[in-house]
Amino acid sequence: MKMTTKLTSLAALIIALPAFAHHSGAMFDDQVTLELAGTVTHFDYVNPHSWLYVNIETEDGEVVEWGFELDAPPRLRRVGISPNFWREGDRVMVRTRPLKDGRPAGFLVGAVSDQGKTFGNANGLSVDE
Amino acid sequence: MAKQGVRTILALGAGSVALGLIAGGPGSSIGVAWAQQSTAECVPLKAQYPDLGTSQSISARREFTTVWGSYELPGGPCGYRSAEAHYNSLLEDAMSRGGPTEHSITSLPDWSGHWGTENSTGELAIVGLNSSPEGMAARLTPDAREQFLFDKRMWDEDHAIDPISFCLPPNFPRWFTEYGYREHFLTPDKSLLGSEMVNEFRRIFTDGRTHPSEEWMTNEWLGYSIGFWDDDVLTVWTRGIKEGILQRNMPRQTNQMETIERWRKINPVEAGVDIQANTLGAAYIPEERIEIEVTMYDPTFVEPWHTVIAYYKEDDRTPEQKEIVWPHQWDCVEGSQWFITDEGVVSQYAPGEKPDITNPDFWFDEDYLHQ
Repeated sequence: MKMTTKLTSLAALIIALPAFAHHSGAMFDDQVTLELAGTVTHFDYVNPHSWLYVNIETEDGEVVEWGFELDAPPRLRRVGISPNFWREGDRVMVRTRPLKDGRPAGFLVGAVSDQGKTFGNANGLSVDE
Repeated sequence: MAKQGVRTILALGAGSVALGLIAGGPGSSIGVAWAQQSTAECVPLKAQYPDLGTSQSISARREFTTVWGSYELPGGPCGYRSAEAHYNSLLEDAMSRGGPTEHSITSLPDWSGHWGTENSTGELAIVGLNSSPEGMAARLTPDAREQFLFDKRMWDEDHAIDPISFCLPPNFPRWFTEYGYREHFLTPDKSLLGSEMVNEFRRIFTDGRTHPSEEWMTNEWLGYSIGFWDDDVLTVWTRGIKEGILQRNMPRQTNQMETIERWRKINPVEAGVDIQANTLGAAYIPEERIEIEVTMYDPTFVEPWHTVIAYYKEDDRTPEQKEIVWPHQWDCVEGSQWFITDEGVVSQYAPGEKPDITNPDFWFDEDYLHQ
């Protein structure tokens, strides 16, 4: 399976404004959107925010674990996201607004998985076979 | 000049709680002189700022039709002089009708179940249109206005830090505006009003006590609340709140803030209100709503700040809904992944950067503990 990393201009996307209920979104780069493919390591369904962790393979073959922040369970459950929405081993393509400083974390804008699960703004995302 | 302090109510009607004292919270400044401000002494904000807007919910960015709660500032055009005056006016009114009501455990209103905010999924605003910077600045005394405009610039430039990002609890009345399920446990002598966020429960003492004396009073995130029942209306007076902010991007509040609330459950469907189905039950129209009038008194406000909040009952009638409709434990430290950078902005840990403090092996790591 070939992992892909794609940088997309924000202008090319219509992204719903995420709700940063518990903290500001200042840490994330609102001028950059990344699309990253990888394998889920774990999904923490916790307050005050939930976290999806994904192993991303870089172009030189190195595997780097990224952490993607989601909303809190009180809001996720309202849109049908259960604690087992993602499971270890699921292959996903995620769309994220990364941290400004380049460390491997970001806000999860959208995602699709090989289990047929779709989250957020996943327009145009697909999981490589 | 009315006497300062407390006075004893000598005559209590049948069915009234033995609420012996009226007025006179410790540190009271006006005692029983709770007459509203003379209209000749003030110019109401509404008259100064016609576009300020008054019919906005504390719990939604949009207007909603209240059935019972009023957006009109209680106590006349400029409001009551103090929370104490406001509370005593309501208490005296209840007493004039034989109240306050002495409920038994079975006669208390049914506020059971889990409750959500009117719009459920949106970022909550405390005063809707009034939360425009201009509208909020108009409500503040000059020094507080200057502070607010400075704070606003810090928010705009991403250099403001929200205390709840670091697991401090939402203070009161911000408690109203955070998301998550609400729960209400009513007993004759005390009501527990809960919010899922940070597992915060307020205790409303309805056993006739006053606030603690200055010797024992503290300032806490939710303050200290006393109240009384007037039939199915719960009136609450809260003091002893920590200083803080009303909400992100909103003015500060001092530790002198006091609030008056009036809670009542109504049926908006019977009242003919056009209600949209909520996001949990696709076809569910909530017929139970609790409307709460809230009036905030703070030395930095040029007049009391008044608004209405609404919670509706969530649909948990089916097994499928019961799977979703339950409050989760809010373990903030476990899920919190943020730190403050050297530049003074909030940032997020990447995987592996934060010690796994939930791992028992970490608790007993000799290398770590003895370093």
